[in-house]
Amino acid sequence: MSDHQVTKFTLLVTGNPASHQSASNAYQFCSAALKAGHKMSGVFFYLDGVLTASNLISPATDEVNLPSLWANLANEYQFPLEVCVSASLRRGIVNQQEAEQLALSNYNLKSPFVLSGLGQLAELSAGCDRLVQF
Amino acid sequence: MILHTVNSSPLSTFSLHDCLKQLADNDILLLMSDGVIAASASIEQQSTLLKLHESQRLYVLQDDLEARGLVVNVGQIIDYPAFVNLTIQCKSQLSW
Repeated sequence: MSDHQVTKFTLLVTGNPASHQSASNAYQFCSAALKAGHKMSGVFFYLDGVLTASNLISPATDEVNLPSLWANLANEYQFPLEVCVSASLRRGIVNQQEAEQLALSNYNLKSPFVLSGLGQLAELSAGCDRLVQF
Repeated sequence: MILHTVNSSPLSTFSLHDCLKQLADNDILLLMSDGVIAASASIEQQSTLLKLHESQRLYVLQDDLEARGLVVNVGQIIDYPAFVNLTIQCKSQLSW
């Protein structure tokens, strides 16, 4: 089929990591695609999916920690984790710059997640071979 | 050729029902998350699913099936690497 051909993927993740299975499906798909030698143009987190980018998520030690898994995978394979800024601010996911601008006392965006906009999703999807939504 | 992914149970949403209405002749259907219930339970759409299965266009995600302790009546069971290949084989994907 495509064993020797490298495909560039963009993933769109919209599920809450604490309550929706699609968040985990997306991670497992991403992991399988990279292990098969394919490339990730980027993963875009939208709607409740943005909650994956909080560095305050602390599940019990015997549970899966999706934010850490995503961060490790992105660091290992060097692809961007983009988070919709308006969906984030609405749900209390804030980086240092936004916290300063909005005079908030704290920020909690996990590294290497970055806040970006829907324009970036358009760019990612235009620059990849396949867009897969979860 | 479109890969349709259905991730909710046919007993709780109309996603499968709506998806099957839109499925074109050579489109492929993958059942995942609670969507795998459709491959296991006796449901209204069973004859349509059987036809898809006979033309090798119905797939069921193994991990999600096993996590629910279900077995399939129809559909070919696949793992994540095969799911990745399906997305490459199809021109685009539609999540229901």
